[in-house]
Amino acid sequence: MYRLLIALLLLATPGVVEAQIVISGAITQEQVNEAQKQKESADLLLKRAGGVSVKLEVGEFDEIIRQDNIAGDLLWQWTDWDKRLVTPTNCAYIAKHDVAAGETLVIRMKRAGDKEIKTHRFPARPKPWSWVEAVADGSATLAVSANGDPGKMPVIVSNVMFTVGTPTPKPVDPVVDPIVTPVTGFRVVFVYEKDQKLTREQANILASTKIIDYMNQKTAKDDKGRPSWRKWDKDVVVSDEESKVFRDIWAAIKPKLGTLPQIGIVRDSKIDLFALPDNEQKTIEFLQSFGGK
Amino acid sequence: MAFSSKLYPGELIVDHSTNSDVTHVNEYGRGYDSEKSLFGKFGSPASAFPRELLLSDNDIMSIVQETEERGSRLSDLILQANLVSKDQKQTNYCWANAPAHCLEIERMLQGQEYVDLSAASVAAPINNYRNQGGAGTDAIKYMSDIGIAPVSMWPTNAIDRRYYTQAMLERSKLYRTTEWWELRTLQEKFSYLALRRGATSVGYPWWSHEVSSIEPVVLDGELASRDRNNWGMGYSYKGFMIIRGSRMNFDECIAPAVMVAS
Repeated sequence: MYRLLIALLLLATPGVVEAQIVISGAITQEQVNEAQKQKESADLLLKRAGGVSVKLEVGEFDEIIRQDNIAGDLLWQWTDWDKRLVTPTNCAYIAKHDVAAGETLVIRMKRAGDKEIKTHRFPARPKPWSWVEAVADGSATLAVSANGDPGKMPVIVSNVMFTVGTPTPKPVDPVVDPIVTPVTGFRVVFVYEKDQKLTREQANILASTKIIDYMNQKTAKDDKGRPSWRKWDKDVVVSDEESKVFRDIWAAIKPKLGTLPQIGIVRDSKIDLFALPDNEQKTIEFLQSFGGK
Repeated sequence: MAFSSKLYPGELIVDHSTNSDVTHVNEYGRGYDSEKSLFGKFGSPASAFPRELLLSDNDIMSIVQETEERGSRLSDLILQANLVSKDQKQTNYCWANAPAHCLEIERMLQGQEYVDLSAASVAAPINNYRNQGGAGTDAIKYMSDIGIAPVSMWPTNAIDRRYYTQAMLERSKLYRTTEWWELRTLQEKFSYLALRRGATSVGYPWWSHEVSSIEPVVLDGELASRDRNNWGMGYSYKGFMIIRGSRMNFDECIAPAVMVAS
């Protein structure tokens, strides 16, 4: 898309400070010490970090600054929808631009929350900072590590969860073959492993009455009027008494299962496997992106 | 103010002071015989509960509060699905009714069609068609090896060998549990119920009775157990009841975790 942007280095002109994304260190030093004791990797610690959620529309921007007590280089890591495609430098939905210490910047764009395009002037700052531009609908997490090395324990970390527009989730690889016998309608299969320690959010998703309500309403009905969703252990024995369509779905999904738990989304004969969203609400939104509201 | 679970309307609480009006020892069938329990003697496919899945009391209480506020307790799911409780009537087959109900709950969680499962199709052959007590572990092993018949092929409390047919055995294979847990402590049981949110079949020696444990609750700052009895929907609140204190001590606790998809 054409960027509505003029980025110029100008003499410093005081600008109005609006909403900012602040890298503040979501994990305390005590948590880092405990993680080191448990020999957790920096990546795991990053995943456990809390953070801020930012909603942007395509064409909007926002700035990312750091708290005064965070010094040194920052490592930025993008994680896309399926949580496995970590892209160290870039992301398909968000473009990040860095601004060096002492530089000034003028951006003519619509800022997150603004109603129209405006000219935004940023004075020189004593520390480097960044700004992000939403370029495509999608969802990604930006994990920030303050020691700059993903193999070592981060000193201070934070996550920024971006959602741009109305994202369409992307399935994990590999591609699942379509159902052998063509069918129509929306079906859902959750797959988990009995021995796996689920996070509390994962357990909430699998036991959610709201999600079941949604699936009861929106999934295709079988010849007895029953909704078409299942929650199966990866080792479930699927008998001939199970419906033909779910036997076919399972035959297609089982060889392609990845890191569990996962959700199989079946639209007509097309099947896609996805990682479980982060929580109950996001799972409902995720299902709504296929089955409607 | 500390969190305390809400009880269902008219839900009974059983503790050490409860009198026989609540436990109905002379009116309803029971039949749990701890002498017959195979608890701890299974090999595969019964699994011991992994230590890494154990939760602290604080974590369990926090999950209890969260799931209650979200309406995502197992009892919420059971009520949402209109899953009726078992009624063993005057049989001594509590030890097959409780595991049978756990299998029905597991099928509900898997999204399978509701099928009323016949406890007598398991208990009667095991006990050579006598109305005698037994142990849930015996029943669950049978439900894994042979399966359990639907009530359409074996009436729910019929102690009658005429129903033992080849067709019934073939049908029973569709309602087998293929994997289950043995839970040996209250901590394991509550961790399982809080995290996995499936049901467990629990044998109480003080009551000579086996029921289904559904979920932990918090009362007066302590964990207690919401169970579901096998005495029909008219008992307590739709079969749900609370067991607390020393009455929670069990000597067998089994959790069917995976059912054949049928």
